[in-house]
Amino acid sequence: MKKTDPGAMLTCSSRRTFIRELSVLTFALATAPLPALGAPSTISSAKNTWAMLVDIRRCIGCQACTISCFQENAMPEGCFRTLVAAYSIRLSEQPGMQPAGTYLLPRLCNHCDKPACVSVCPTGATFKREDGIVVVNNRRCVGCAYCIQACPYDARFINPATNTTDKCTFCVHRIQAGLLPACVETCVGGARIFGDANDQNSQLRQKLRQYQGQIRVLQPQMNTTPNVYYIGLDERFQGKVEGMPALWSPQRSEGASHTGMKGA
Amino acid sequence: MGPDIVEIFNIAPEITWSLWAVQYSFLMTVSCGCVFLSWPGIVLKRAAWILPSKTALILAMTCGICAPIALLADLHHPSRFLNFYLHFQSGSWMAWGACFIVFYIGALLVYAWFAFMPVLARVGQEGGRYAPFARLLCRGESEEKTRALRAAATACLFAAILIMIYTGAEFLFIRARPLWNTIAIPALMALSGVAGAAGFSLALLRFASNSKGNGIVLSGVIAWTQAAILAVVSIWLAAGLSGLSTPAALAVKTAFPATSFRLMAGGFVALTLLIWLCAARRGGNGILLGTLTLCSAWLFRWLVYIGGQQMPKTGAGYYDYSLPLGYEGLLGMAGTLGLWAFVFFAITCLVPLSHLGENAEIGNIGGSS
Repeated sequence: MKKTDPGAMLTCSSRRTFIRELSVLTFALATAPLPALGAPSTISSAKNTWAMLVDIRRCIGCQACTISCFQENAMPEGCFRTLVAAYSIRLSEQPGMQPAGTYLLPRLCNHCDKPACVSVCPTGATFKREDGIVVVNNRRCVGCAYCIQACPYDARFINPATNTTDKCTFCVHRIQAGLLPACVETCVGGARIFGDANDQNSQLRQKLRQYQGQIRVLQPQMNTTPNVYYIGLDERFQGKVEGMPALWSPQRSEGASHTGMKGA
Repeated sequence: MGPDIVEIFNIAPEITWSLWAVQYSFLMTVSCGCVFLSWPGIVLKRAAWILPSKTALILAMTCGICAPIALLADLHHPSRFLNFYLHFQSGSWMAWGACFIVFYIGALLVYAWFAFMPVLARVGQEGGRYAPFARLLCRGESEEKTRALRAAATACLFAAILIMIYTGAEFLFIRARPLWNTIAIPALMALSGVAGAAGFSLALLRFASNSKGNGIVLSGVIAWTQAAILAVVSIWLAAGLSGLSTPAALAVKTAFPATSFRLMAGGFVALTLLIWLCAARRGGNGILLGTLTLCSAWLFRWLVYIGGQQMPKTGAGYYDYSLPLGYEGLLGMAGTLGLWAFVFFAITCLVPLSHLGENAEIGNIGGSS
């Protein structure tokens, strides 16, 4: 009988165990719904004022936020609660210089402190929660679309599956579970920072302090006091963009019956 | 040199206040305009207005009954309309509007009932297929109840004014849409509603009666309202172009670069001018003049509702919209017309146009047609 070196056995066994356990660990890490870094640590309450800071400089236009929101909220085809609008901008006429660049602008409901949509709603279906999130009670909504007219951000639409108004909710169901909104969770460049504006130690508040002079909001002339802030927001994109519209607009085309996608 | 910014990828939101909203606004403001026109003849007893006023009241009823149905069709969840009343929000003009509509329709039907009671009695006496129902409605009364009629007419007039105010205010306070966020819109909405009412009444009056004299007063109303519309548009445009009014300037800046809007707005102004010239001459074909006025009132609503929503709040350029052929478009228009025709025939079975003769004083059921 061949003698086996106990040390070698141990080494061999440990290596095998290590490799086996490593594969299990890798699988577990890949599939387990671990709490995201920076996720809200407490259940949402009146003490919170949820807000988002979008660092446009870090957005790469991958639309991971668009897709994750679409999947997380089971949106009907052609409907989007958030999206990264893309623009081509002229940079320079000088020979040898970069002639044009891409400007990316993530858009979503701004969860305003003075929401124009809430005051016009005839049934109270749209309301602002104590934690600052503007939501729609789609069991009360009659689908009159008055809020869609009043929203300065074009952030609302009629959901063809429910025939009621739909919009971004900051993934309120995830926040209640102590998770980040889907778009924040999946943002590859870390361009979307979500947090409690009342918490002085939150990453959001720290960034807002750090970039105090550079923070801008969309449609400031509307005085709706949005809770979505931007770093790197070009003033030409704060309101209606003056430029050439997208060349292709398959509105009412297959799969986009309610909200047309415009893309060149 | 090309533009500095080219939009590559964005959302083009759907037009959510569609043709049904245009139809509602058209029918409702025309109905309210008809109530205004019914006053001189029916309540104030001006001789020249008796027939035009009665015709206007018939149209007020037909349009008033159809309008809320068109409004329901514009809701994406029409079966939940009771939520307007169950969850009333005092801060919303639309919530108030839902209450005003009920008040208006109720007051209008009571007003018409008192106004046409002598006609109902006459139809009941003459016999025929609808006589029993006419007798049931007038409950054997053949005399005019002047005090009750005046009370109902006053309530209806008040409700019509409330409807006109709410219809305009619903637009006026939408800051996100520059074209709507201007005082000219409620004024033009009311003026074109009255003009449309006068046009509709004139067309029906000339259609039902060969006498040109009956429509003179209505031609006068058309001329005055068209002149007022041209004046308001001129002032609004001047204030916008000169920058005297910030909302008007913003509306002009937002709306006028759109070719489709410029064409339609130009068409509306040209049509208004043409109607004004024809009406001021007090001549021509009353049916044609009335129909043109009615079309002008409808065109204005299309311009405001659809034109306003074609202007993006955030995106570049303008959203394209063309009248769909289905129920949310052309078929919807045909359906609304069919509904109106049914209501019109149903009402005129009980209150025939031939019984509204100019010699028939209200309360004098023996008057000739």
